[in-house]
Amino acid sequence: MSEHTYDYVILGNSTAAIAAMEAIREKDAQGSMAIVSDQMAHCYCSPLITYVLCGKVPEERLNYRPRDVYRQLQVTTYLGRAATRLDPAAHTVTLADGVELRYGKLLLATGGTPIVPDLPGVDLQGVFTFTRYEDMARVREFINSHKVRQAVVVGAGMIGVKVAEAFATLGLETTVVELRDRVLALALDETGSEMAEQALEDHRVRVITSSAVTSLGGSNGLVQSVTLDSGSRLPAQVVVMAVGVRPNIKLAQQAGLGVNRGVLVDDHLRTSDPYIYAAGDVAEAYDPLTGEPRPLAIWPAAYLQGEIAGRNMAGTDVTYEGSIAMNSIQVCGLPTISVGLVEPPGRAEVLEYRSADGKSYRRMFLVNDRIVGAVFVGDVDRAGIITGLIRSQMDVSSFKEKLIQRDLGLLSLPKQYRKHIVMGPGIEV
Amino acid sequence: MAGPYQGELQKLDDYRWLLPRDESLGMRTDGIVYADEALMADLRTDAALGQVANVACLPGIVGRSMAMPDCHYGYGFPIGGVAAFDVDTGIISPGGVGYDINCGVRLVRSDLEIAEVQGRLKDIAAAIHNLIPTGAGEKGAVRLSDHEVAEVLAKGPAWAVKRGYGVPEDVEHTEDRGCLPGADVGALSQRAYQRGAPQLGTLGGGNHFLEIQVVDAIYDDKLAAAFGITAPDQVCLMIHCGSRGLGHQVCEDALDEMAQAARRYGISLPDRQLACAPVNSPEGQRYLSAMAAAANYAWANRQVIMHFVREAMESVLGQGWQKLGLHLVWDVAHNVAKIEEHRVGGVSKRLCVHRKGATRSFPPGRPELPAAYRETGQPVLVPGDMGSASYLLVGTQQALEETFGSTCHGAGRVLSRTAAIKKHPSQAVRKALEAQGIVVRATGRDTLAEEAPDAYKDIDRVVEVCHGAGLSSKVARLRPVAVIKG
Repeated sequence: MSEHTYDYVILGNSTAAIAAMEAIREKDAQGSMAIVSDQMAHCYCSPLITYVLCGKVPEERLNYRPRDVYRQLQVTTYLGRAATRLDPAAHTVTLADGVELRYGKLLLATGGTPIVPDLPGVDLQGVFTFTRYEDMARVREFINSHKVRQAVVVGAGMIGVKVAEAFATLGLETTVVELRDRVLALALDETGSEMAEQALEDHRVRVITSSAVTSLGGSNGLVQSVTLDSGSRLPAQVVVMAVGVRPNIKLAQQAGLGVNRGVLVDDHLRTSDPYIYAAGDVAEAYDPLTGEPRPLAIWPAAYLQGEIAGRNMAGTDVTYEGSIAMNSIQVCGLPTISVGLVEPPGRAEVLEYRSADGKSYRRMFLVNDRIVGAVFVGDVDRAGIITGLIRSQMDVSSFKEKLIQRDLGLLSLPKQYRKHIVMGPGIEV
Repeated sequence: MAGPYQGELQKLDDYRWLLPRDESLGMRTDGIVYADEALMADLRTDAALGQVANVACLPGIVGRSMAMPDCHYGYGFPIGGVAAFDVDTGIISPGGVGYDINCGVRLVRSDLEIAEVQGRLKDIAAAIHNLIPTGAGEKGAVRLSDHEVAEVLAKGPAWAVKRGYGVPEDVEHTEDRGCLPGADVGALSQRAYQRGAPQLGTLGGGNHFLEIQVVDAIYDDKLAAAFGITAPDQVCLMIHCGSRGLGHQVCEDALDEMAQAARRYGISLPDRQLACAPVNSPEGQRYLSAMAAAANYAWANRQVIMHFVREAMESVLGQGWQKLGLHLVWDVAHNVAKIEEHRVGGVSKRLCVHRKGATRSFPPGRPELPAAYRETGQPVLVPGDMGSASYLLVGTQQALEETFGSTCHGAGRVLSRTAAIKKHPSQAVRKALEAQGIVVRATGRDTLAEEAPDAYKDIDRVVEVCHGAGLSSKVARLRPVAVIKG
């Protein structure tokens, strides 16, 4: 089989991959570059696919780059062709059709795969996962071509909640089942979860928490119901499993790279092989707030990691300072944002505000007068300022009382910090 | 246009002419032209022979630089040119494929006899014309989202069948199942994309046509029957079109990039129009991906058009298409470059075979053929020019050994479009066709004149040369009874 040689090969075609591609090209105008993905589509914004399903967002809006971004950056694409083997000693990666690519430097940005629990009936038609455009298209096609009245979504994390909202918008009688005692448990605190749950129910999504699915039932190969550990049976003609995503580490593992849950990287996003980098959902990078490495499957982190990995691959020396967990999600019209930790560590000071009408809620945790986490629900206007304070780990003791006020503005902050924001880091006064 | 070829030309036999390798011209191999005396008389005044010699200069060429009997002057490579390049040391060139990537032909047979539909031909032609837009810039009835475009490009007619435009058997009866590997939406420019997305299901202009034909002669009963042709007077349909604006734009985009690539890789070109890049270079791979995408688009396009033809026939004749026996015989690409395995000097080699205005002509046994044709050999479709006969042929072992399995693709122009328009008013052409009893529906003002029969070589002669040289064998001849054009 043929062998094609590139200075840079990027495995993946999503956020981290695109950020890396652009960062490499910015630094190295000449180097040859290839992008490989098992998906045949142009890069698209996957967080929007539930909105496309229910028609809130037109399909064209999924594109976040011009269609000829690859041509413009002189990148050869191998779309719709999975990478099946990585050989770090030979510097080659083999594609499903046998083509071999030889690389100078390689980026693993292969993301994650949704977890499908091993339940009886999980193979029935009408049971889906929902992380890619193709999943959305299959679900849409299935709903259009079958008699679907009722839907069950298993898992009330970010994906599950958004899928449930989309199903309800389409007029399906929708139930979301969550193992924990509340929805969005990783993204919000208890009060935030309660408010989100209320928003779901106002949108006619039934929420069942503290419940496990034990099996799926069907007839003629089509799913018909979901059975819970309580013994109750929910009728459903379509089921989406949204219980989590697992980093795609198989390629790295087979190649002998260091892996844990994700592919391990150093503070330059380099793996245990000096010519191979990893970024995005597949990587397990350092979390500055916990001091531990952990996979952080969110968009801004993927973008930042991709960019930094790309710059390092192209020969610039950039350290990855870590990303702060950040979740921004509209739950049936209710905006929510969380930054950093959503549950206060033991010795934290807690600031809390809830508006009289109960519609706006914010809560912050401080350790040593520095904010380490914040939750905003309903009114998220000032979340950006707080995010900046978390990121910079600024001492907030002098204006602590202003932090949870609705009218918190830049003017509430000390002069030095305003200067820092305006002029950028590195010009501390 | 360059002048006629001045170099040496040796007649080898009744059908073969050799352009011996001339190192002073930089030729790396011989050229060979398939023609009889009369066709060669025309070629001597054409610049195409010089182009055959030019192609022989390109790096990594394996075997000879070849020209089929319908050969005439084209962009860089002659139309009717065949050249194969080693994938590891050779080049790929957009000029060796042409602007209309995967321009090709499909033949649909039927259980109808001409007597049953003679009186309905006008209605059928009108119904087809209603469902299938013709002419250069027309948009089709199929609306595609971005992701569907990616799927059309990657999968070709398999996408169409999934969407309900046809049945799986159609895909089986399409060259390479209508899907070249490595097709990639990422290799396309914004412009190619925008031109292509709205045009699926349209015929286009130029020499493209849709004809209702009738079997005129059968030369090999057994093979004809295997291809679904059983009786003289049997009604067939032929669709001749390509990848529309998308393919054209892919070619245009690639020519810019290839001109730079040729310089970068130090490839010296006897003619700038031969711009090319090593097959395995990033530029070569990008063109290969974009070209494969355009090829798959063209196959999907002919599939969608055939679906509408079936619908039109159903609506006029009031019977389902299966009942009418409207099965796809075969679909060929005659402007394409493909990676194929061939035996060269006893060794199996992977070659990038350019066929520009040439048709693949594989013998029985080739793994590329579907089960139905594994023992017969590949059907070869050669469309005549407007109003003249078309042929159903079969691929041969001789072709495989001599031309990497290639034969002619049509009649081949002798008059330029402008010369043809000058010579014939469209009305006169229409009258002449109608006088032969051919129903004509055309959209464009000058299309009929451009495509007037005497603008082309004699199709019978072209096919006869290929038959005589053993590049393909005659199976049946078809003549048009209705013509629908852009």
